[in-house]
Amino acid sequence: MSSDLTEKEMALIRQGIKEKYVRVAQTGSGGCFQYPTGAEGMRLQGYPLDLVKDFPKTILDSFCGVGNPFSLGPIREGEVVLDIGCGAGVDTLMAARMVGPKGRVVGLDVTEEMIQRAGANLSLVPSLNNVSFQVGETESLPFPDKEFDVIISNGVFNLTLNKAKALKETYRVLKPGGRLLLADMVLVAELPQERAGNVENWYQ
Amino acid sequence: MDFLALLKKAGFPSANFVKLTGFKSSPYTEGALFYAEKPGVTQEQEVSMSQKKALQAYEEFRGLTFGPGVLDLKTKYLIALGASLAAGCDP
Repeated sequence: MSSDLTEKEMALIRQGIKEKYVRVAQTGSGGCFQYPTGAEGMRLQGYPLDLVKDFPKTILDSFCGVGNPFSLGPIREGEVVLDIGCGAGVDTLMAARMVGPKGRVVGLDVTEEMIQRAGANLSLVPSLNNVSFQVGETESLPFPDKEFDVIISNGVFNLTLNKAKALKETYRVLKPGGRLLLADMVLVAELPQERAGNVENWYQ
Repeated sequence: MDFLALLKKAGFPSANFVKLTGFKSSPYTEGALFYAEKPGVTQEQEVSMSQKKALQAYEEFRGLTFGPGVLDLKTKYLIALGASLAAGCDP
């Protein structure tokens, strides 16, 4: 828990996360993750790939999600969606296809480099004009209250230092009755004692 | 506190852990799916409630109109029939 960490450790973790994801943004996901990424990862998680069959391969290659948030329930035409920690924007663009031209999707990420990469991916699908990307922190979402019908997120909250604050922010920007479709990493086994205190464990 | 408990504390009382995804980033961590809803009335439900109110108001109006009064019920029905025919409504 973040309360057990010193300010210095938290700063190190924040820095480490940013450095890792700047590297991923600049070089692609290859080698940075130990689970399947790209179109193969999407296929294994049961993504509706038919919906995005016109997307260039380079977009799908950017996928490094840990699950399929869309398997948790439908996103409907005309809805307003936020993708927290959008990375290169694969889920964001898929959600944009689901909400159609009457809907709107915003992708938010903590690093400028990822937002640039997401913007580059968006530019490869000129038919999508209901998407925007912006830099922002999960713990302080730059949006008004009750803005979104749906929030999706994929492998992000585990990296967040103050999870309680980030989740309260998520609650704040959702409309009443709004849905949170979340894929994330969880601990499934106790960390060995010698690794439990490693700051690097936070973003491996 | 585990993640599900944090979700509930943040205002999502019906938050659910759905399943593990099979994606492992280390021997200790695995992808997981969670679903949560913010309590409250959706826009769709609001519309449905406002329709219900309109229907209730109409039922009330109809009840009062056809209730006991100066004119008998048969006369009232014949007036209603005449009005609906004049308005082009097929009875």
